[in-house]
Amino acid sequence: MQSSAAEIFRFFSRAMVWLLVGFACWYFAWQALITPPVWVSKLVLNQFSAFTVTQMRIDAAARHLQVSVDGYVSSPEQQLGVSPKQFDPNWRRDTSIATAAKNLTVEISPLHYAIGLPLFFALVFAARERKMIPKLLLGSVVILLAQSVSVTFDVLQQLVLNPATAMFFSHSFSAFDRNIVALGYQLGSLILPTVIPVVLWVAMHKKMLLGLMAAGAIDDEDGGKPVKN
Amino acid sequence: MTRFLVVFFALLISLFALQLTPIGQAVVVPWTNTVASVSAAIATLLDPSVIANGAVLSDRRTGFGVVIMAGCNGVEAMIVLFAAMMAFPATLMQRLLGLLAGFVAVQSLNLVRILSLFYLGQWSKPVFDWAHLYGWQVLIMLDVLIVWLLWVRLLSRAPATKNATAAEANSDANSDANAAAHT
Repeated sequence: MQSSAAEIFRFFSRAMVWLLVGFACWYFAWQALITPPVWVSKLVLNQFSAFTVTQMRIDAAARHLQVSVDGYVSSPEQQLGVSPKQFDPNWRRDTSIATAAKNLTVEISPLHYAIGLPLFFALVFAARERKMIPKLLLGSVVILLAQSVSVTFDVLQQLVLNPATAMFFSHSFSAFDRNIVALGYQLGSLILPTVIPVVLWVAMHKKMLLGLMAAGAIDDEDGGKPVKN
Repeated sequence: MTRFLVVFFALLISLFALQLTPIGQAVVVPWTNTVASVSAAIATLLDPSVIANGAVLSDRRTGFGVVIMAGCNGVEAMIVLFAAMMAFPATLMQRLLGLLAGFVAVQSLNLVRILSLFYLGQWSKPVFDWAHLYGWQVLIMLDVLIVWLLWVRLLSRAPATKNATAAEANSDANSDANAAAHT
């Protein structure tokens, strides 16, 4: 049996090799990989009453996702509960705002959120444990769902927090809602893409973890020297 | 494992949200500036034209500069490592030592990341973008995982945690057995 520290470094070396393979596959298959999260994200985004997603188009050349929405601009009557005509009989609704809220398009880079799959696959292959296929399938589903969360919050922050479009939704999202969107966007872009694959790997490789701990204890009893069978 | 995951995610989300608040930013912003200054100090050993101004690292000769922002200051990686070490059964001293070693490992690799990106950016924008958005993100998280695995391995050498981790393993084994019995 190898020393557990040596085994960790061997595992890490294998993971680096698999990561290169994974990144190469991911680079060529990125469009297929981001399509399911984009579908889920569209489904979730359409639950918001402030807008309707009319189109989500993957721009293969720019590696961007273009999201078009129709916003529902609330009228002053809805915002204030009174008609401005009560104060100004000549008042007329500014239809240019409603026109501007039609077909708002924002762009996001979904590729950034898709790095979880190559990382997870590399870790699973490097661990060389049995029952790889169920782990890979289950892990892929969870990672794709996490990607959907990241894509959804990125689109939301572009619509709700970006000054260019936020004016159309200022009455649909409260200050608290906007803070949640900001937190979700930060979590979705900085934490979820890399943490979810690693946590999934740890949760699925409990046996390896316990093996490392047992090997550490054996190393200790042998004065820290590698033990060979 | 369930307890580990619950504590890990609770700590992770709480600390991540905290570092976005004004209180958290009072620590994060000076830290980010320090990272830029240390990066510039290391770079000037070989290249005197590199300067740091706040969180901006730039080259006086070429005019190229990079801004060190959230995600590039190593704070998120440290939060992940902190949450993982706090969620795993260990003594306070073991956690402190693990965090100290983890801090050195994560921040050292982060300095390598910043300096490599600074020079990659002057060489090729596509390579810079690839390394910045994908390559280094994954490598930093792998660094966190390696540090945590080495720490877990060292924990098993300490008698104080042997009982705790054995109890956790038995509890997991029992719950697995119960789940199998139910199915």
